[in-house]
Amino acid sequence: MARTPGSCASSASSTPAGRDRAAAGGVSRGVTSFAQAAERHLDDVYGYLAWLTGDRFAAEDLAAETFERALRLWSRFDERRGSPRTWLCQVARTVALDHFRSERRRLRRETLAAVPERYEERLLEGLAPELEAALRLLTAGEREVIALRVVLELDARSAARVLGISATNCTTRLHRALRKLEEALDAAA
Amino acid sequence: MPQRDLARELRAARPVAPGALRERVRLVAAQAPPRRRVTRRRAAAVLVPAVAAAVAAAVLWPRAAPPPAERTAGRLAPSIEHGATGAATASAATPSSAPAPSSAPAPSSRRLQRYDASLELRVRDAAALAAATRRALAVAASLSGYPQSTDVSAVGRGGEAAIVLRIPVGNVERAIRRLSALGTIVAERYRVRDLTAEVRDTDRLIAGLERRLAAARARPQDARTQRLEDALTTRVQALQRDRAATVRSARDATVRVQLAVRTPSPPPQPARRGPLHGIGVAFRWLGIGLLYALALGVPPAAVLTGALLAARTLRRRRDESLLSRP
Repeated sequence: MARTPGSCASSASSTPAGRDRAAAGGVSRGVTSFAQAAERHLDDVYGYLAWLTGDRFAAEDLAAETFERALRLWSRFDERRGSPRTWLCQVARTVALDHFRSERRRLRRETLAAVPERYEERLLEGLAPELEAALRLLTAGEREVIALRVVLELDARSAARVLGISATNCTTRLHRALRKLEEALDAAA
Repeated sequence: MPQRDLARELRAARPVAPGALRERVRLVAAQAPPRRRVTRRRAAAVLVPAVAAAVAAAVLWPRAAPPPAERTAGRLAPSIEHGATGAATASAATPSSAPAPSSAPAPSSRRLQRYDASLELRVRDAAALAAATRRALAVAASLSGYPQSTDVSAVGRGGEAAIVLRIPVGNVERAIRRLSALGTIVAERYRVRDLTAEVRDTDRLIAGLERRLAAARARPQDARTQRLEDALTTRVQALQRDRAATVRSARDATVRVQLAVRTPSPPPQPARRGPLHGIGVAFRWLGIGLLYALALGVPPAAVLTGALLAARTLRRRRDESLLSRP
């Protein structure tokens, strides 16, 4: 991930938790701080959206939209209530849900006219084909919790905050998603 | 595949934002964040509760008490009653806290009327009581009247006086007006009874008796006729005396004046109020305010909270349904 020169990122920020602490502690309010947060957490937001939507191209558009919306809402961001990464993921989730709604409406219209075409593209680069096939069997919600807890390595509390559920519920949801993924892998093997 | 290996593999395939997206986000982040604006939603969030509170305060705030005279005017408005005999009786009772123009009904100059007035006045102290008594008697004398009775008693700083004055009916209005100014009017009552019909009846009766008396005198005189003449003469004389008394009573009005020293208000009792009295009063008013706020605010707040919770639950279910497909 690219680092902004002169930012407060230190050696402790090499881990995701360290990045959260560094971002929350060192980012001051204003134009520069938003730019720093955007630069620092762009990959996280993009990755989260790619996992959630299962569509890299849609994730690109949604990530850009997320940062546009985040810039408008930046004055509401309170560092005491969570790290910038968590907050950006919350904004990204709202943007993605809006996208899903509009997609569902679009699909309904298209289904009335003709059977929509399905493009099978690679979900993520570098994944084994059987793992990708297993991931395709998961719902968006299940992929989302795996993305937050496993890929982005958010702690249970932060992930629960993004999802709007309790930490216990988040952990339960993660276990179910991983078990389903394992079962799919076993079935494929 | 063990979960640890699975997690490692998933992390290894962590997506990285393409360069085009990175540049796009840099451009977005380079813009100045928009300043917070007063949106309609924000303005409504502030204005609606403020207006609701103002309306509630205007409706529920106790209105300023009207002055005592205004408060009692409706209850003690003058009323007029007519008797079955045709005699008209007017009465009025008007307590007031300040010297007010008297509401005495005007006597009629063409008819015979028995006019009774009663004034209850309050004076400042015993000295004012004595002065008011003297002036009441002077008022009666100056208007060709006279005191029928005077009863004055003074004990310490208090006291009272009961004066009955007889005033010629033609001057009674002026007398009442001047007497009303002697102190603060507490109550006033008037009673006017028409005597004209009664006197006319008496006149007719006397005329009839005189005719009978003349007829008796024209007859030959004997012992029986003489007894009849005596009886008729006695009856006519009695009726004439009654008529004269009635006419005399209608010539002068009776004005009763009750004077009393104002009861001093009880002095404040600072000894009972400790140093924490003010705090107690403040807490009392705070409690009252809190009670009102609770009574007014809890039901709408509960409804609003319920609506918000329902909307939130609905939104979450919709979100879950959106995310429940591959």
